Amino acid sequence: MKTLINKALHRKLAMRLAMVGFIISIVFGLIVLLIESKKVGEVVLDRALQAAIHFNAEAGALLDKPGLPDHDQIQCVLDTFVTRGLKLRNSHYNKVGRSVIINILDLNRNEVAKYIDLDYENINAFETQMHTSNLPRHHNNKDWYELKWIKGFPFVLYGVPLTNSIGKTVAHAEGVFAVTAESLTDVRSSALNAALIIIAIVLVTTGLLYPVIIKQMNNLKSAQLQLIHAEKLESIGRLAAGVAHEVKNPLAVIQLGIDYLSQTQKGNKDVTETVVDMDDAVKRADTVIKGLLEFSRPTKLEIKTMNVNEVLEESLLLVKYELSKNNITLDKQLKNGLPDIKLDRNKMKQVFINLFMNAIHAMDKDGTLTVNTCSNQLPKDLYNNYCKKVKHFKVGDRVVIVTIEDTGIGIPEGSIDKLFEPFFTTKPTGIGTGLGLSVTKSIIELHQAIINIMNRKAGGASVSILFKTKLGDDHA
Amino acid sequence: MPKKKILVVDDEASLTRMLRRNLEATGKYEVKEENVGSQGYATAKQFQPDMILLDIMMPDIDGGAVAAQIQDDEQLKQVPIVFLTAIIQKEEVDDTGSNIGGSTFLAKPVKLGDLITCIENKLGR
Ligand SMILES: Nc1ncnc2c1ncn2[C@@H]1O[C@H](COP(=O)(O)OP(=O)(O)OP(=O)(O)O)[C@@H](O)[C@H]1O
Ligand SMILES: [Mg+2]
Repeated sequence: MKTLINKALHRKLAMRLAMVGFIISIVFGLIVLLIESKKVGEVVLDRALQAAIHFNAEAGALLDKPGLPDHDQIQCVLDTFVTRGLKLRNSHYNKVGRSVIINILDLNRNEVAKYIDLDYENINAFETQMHTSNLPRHHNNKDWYELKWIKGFPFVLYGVPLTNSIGKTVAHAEGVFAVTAESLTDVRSSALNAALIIIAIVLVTTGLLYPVIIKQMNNLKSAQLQLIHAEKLESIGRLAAGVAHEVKNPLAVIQLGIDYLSQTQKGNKDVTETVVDMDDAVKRADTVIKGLLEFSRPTKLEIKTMNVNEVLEESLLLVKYELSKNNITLDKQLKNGLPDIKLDRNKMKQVFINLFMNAIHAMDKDGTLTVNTCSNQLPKDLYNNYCKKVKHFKVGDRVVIVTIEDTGIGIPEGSIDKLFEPFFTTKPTGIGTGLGLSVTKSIIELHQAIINIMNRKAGGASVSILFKTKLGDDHA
Repeated sequence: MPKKKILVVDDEASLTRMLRRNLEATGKYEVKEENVGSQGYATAKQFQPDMILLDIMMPDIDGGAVAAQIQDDEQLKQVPIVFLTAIIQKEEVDDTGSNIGGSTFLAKPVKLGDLITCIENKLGR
């Protein structure tokens, strides 16, 4: 009981930790997303500025003449430059902005030439809003740049001195680079990519954590159920032992009373009949008590190493009459050369007879009882479905599996969970006490084995019992 | 043949009464009832039975303790004792009495026929 509580607490803790991890990963993901998107923006704008400077440096280099360039000269330079610039379109200039407005100013800041290359509608809108003559001119002869978002597009406004090949400033260029839709997509898609990566990270993390969380939740639930079950059984056990004792004494009195009457009233037919009925009733009451005691008492097993097939054969002999009476076909599929396992012969016989009788009761007449044995390496799906709760089972353990199947009515819907509860029965009084499976289960657990019951797809029930061929030292 | 004397010690009066009635009806036994466990030894000393039927779980004293007192007595130690018990199963003992660690046990509820067989075995018939 204590270890169960500990387990439950550990699981609760583990689940909390998983939740904390989950939240941390989400928060971290969001922070990264913010930083990344900001970085992407910065990178693009930085590129835009680089392009602007590059552009003007090229232009300046063309003004390689002493004295102030005249308008025609600059126009010529620009034409040459733009022709060149067009060639450069595949370089980073192109990446940043195809739409360009450039003003060339002389050293007195008079406009001497102008170049406009606009590709996009929104750039037209920009032009009307912000004509080059409105460009800020406060930076004079120095390099400067400014960033403006207009209608959702980033623009780089800049001014650079144009120098000739001997380093003399001959003019000023001021202009606007519009980040093109193309490069905007670039910006957006890299921001989007970053976001997607982060989302993917979060999703993957979540995906990885999800089964852990679910598992922990299920574990917690099953630990709680186990706890409740164990507690219930413990109190039933205590109750049972007490009740059994209290009931057996009055039963003994009644039994002796019946015997007395049957001895002294031998000639009286009515008394004899009454006495037989009473005798029968006492026997029935005693059987119930017996089952209860068996269920409640932690019995020691008398373990011997044997082949489970032998025990099955012996048990089948005992139900032979019931089988033939009900015209039930027996399909025996007992595997040869099964590894020996440690069993209490009598207790296991009790288990098998219980299961056979359940099957026979479920079939009524004309069914088939299939008894199958096999030995396997415990496969993963079986482990996941039935063995997880039993800590000494591992995937790959060698197990002997006994399967008992019938073609009967099957387990009634919704009662699968109740089958192993003491006194759960769907049979009329006198036929079933509802203790068969609870006793069976406690015996199976004493053998450190696992029992599972389910309905077959083809109808009827299927009971399987898994024994480990090698048990630890803690075996009862 | 003289009647054999049987002492029945059990806190349940109706049970001892029933046992007495049944055994005396056979005409072969004289039965004395004792319903106070702790009086079991004293009554045995006084009654000098040929055999004792002894309940195990009694409110004031354990049947085993009464048996120990009796077996410590020179006069009584040869007297066979059969324990009647509600806490072991018929399946674990023979219907007509099982020997567990030197003592004979009968599981309640016991049938008259089984009881008599057991008694006769003990008394050597
Ligand atoms: N093979 C089966 N097919 C259909 N239902 C079954 C089968 N085995 C068990 N059950 C259901 O489970 C219930 C409980 O079974 P269990 O063996 O514990 O008690 P019981 O058979 O009713 O009484 P008894 O104490 O005599 O065994 C049965 O009443 C029945 O409804
Ligand atoms: Mg049953």
